[in-house]
Amino acid sequence: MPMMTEAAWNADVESRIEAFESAWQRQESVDIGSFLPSVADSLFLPVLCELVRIDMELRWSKRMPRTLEMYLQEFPQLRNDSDAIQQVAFEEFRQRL
Amino acid sequence: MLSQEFDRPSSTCLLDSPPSDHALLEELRTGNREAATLLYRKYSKRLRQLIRTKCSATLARRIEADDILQSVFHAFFKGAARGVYDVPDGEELWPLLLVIAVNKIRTQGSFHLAAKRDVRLTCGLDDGDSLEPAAIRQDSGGAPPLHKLVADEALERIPQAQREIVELRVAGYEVEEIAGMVGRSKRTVERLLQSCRSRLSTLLEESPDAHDD
Repeated sequence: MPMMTEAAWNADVESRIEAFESAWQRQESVDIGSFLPSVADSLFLPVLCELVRIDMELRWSKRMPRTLEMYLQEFPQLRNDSDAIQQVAFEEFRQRL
Repeated sequence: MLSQEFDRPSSTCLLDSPPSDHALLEELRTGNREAATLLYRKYSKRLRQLIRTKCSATLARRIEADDILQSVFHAFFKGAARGVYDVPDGEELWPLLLVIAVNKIRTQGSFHLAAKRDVRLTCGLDDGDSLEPAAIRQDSGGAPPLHKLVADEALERIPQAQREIVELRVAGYEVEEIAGMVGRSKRTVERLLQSCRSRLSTLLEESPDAHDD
């Protein structure tokens, strides 16, 4: 059921995202890899996708733009998820607007 | 009556310690009548109170709160037996039952306001609310109070940080403004708002009306 999936998703993913954003408030630059679950974890790709989108937004706002291609080089696992690629591409597109 | 659709006798004793709603729902799916009884005992009083509060005086003249209560549990047990409901471990079935009750009240209201049965036409002249146009009370602002009830229930169950974001959005702030106010990224504000919308939709879509024969 969606509610159960959402609850599980919320508990872990949101705490990682919150920690990531808090780190961004303290530092000039933050390493996404420190906030990811293990690659084998089913939440790895969803968390990676969210953190990349947020990282991209925050870097562009600080005039340190990164592109989709740069993230794909750092996290080749993203290539396995076409939906994630689309989301990050969309994020880059709207940062450029 | 309540457990008439559950013919299988109880194979598991559920009375030793209070089982979770998740466990009771699992038992319901296998036809455990004891689980049905326990859920009825747990929620019937609270539901009856809700129904009495939310039914208008006009509707209350036509139908007893207990009739709606029976209908709520009937729909719930039928849906549970079909496996259409789920509840995460540690959470309650109350929001689901609330939505079912809200829909039952709305359905009864529509039925009794249909042209030839319009309960408003049968009211006494001394009835203060005899011309009340809706079977369900509307608040002074005109917003549907039952939708608000469901929304409030959903909001109560989300973390405070997320609730704050939703409340700011409802107050009319833009995503970018909210992000600045709560110190989160715009993407996070969007994601949390989407999550809340999804949760609310799930609550509303879990109406038994969609599953009734």
